[in-house]
Amino acid sequence: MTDASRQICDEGRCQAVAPELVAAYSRGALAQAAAWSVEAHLPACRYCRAALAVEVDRARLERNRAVLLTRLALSQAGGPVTGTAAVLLTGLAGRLAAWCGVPPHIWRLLSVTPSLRRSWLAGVALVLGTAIGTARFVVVHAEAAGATARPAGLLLFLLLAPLLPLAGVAAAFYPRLDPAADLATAAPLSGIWLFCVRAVAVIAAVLVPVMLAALAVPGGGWLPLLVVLPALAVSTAAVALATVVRPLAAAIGVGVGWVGVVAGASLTAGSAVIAYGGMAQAASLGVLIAAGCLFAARRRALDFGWNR
Amino acid sequence: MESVKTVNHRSVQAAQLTRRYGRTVALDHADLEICAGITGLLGPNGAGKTTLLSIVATVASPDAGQLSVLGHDPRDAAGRLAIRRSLGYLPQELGYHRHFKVAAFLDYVAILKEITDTRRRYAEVARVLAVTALEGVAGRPIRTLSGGMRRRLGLAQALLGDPRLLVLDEPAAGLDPEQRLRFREMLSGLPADRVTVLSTHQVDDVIAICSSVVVLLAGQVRFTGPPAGCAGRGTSVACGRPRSERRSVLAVRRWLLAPHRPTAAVRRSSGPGDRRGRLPAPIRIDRPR
Repeated sequence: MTDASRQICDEGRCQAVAPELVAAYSRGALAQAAAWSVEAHLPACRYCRAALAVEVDRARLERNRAVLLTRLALSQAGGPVTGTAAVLLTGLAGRLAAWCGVPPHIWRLLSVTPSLRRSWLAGVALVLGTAIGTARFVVVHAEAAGATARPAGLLLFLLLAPLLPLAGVAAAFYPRLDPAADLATAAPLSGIWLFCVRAVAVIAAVLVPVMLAALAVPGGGWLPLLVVLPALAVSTAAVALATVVRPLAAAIGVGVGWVGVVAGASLTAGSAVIAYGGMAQAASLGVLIAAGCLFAARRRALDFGWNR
Repeated sequence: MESVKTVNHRSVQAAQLTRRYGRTVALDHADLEICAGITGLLGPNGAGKTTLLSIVATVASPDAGQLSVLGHDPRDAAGRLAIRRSLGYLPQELGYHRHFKVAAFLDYVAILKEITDTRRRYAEVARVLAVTALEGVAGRPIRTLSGGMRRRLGLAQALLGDPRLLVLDEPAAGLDPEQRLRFREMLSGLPADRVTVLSTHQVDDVIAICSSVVVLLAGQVRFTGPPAGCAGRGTSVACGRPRSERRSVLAVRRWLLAPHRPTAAVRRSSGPGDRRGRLPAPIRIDRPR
């Protein structure tokens, strides 16, 4: 504090700053430059500090303090879940999501989805790796025997490709995989909106690795693109059926149905690739549209708690 | 009450509510009305308390009967949404994601309660942390908290959004007597204009903080009214029941009869035997002096 300012403020009242300015500062009504000037003056003037203490809204100060402490606690927490995949997701995918404009509250809802955890995605990667390995093994042995076995080698991958997104969607809402399932069920945001957001995120998170794995499958050809419609059709059919029967039963029923389709194609046509052919693509599109319409019509019947 | 004829927008009304799990009848034509204030749901294990509360919280559906929660019918999707927007629910077994930290968990629950504005959500989280005295542990992982702190955290998440209806299933379960006293103080400090229903095995909890009590036995409502009123019903409520159940009802009546002079049974109810949430056993009926 300079001698000059001390002289100004030692005469019983502040000569530098008017009381109205201090009151306006306490209300947050000053322009930035004026507020900075008052702030710079306050340490040197006990009269202005006393006037500010009278003006300040203590309840608002307490609330602001509490909010700052909460923000600090949340930033120290890192993300809602630490030590699991969410750490990686929060670091890389979280930044990507933020760059894409995903609101923080939606990202927090997604990051506690069971089928978006590292353990689940690692399991998906393991299954895909097994399918690719099986395909390559069969192809190598067939070539060694001088025979063509590419379609047979693809059977496991063709079977699993649409089932993995289906399993992810089912797991996203299976109560036993969510420790706070009861809380989520009893909350107003537990309805269609949350379901759609999580289902879309899970399908995207699993479908992309499936498409990439299709590139690694020997003799896949256009398979990376051909898997998309059947995968979407299977998942959407299960979601639509969940508005009629119990969600788990719907997922299991549709999964068994898909296995039957692939098995039937393999037995009748000698190759499961038929399940991804031209007619199958058209059928998948039809199923996708029908399931979407059914879900839109019966979406209010989807309630994981009330119908339990 | 055979049906919910007059809907009250400030109470929970049930008529002939029934819920079965296989061959087990968890709720057997239960009729009751829970009004503003703190209502205690009293009964032994298997009485149907958790089932009733989960139905009121729209987490489970009844097999039969009618229910009106704050004037809304939960059979209708719009009604369930309206109920959930006014609801704070503490389940009997509140699970947490393994590495959740306290503030982050509350933030998550606040989002589920449609508090999507960041600043408002942080302020609400800060408010409930202050109410439940958990500010000092806001950044700690939940798994490192004591049992008492976890129950307070459960209460904190139920208080998010300042709900009009609080449904607390065994909020003081597993707490030692001192923690239970602090929990009672916390519950007593809640505004009296909201509908609060809590289930408990502890009669002294009911006596201490509840303005009314509902006694459940074997899925049936045996008594509703102020705690002192249960004492005036004599033994009629126990007639025709199996011996063990009759002893339970009589023990409840005895405890409610003499809240100012805790009997040995009441003292025993605060001991370690209650950790499993059962009425003290063997039940000793104090003879009148």
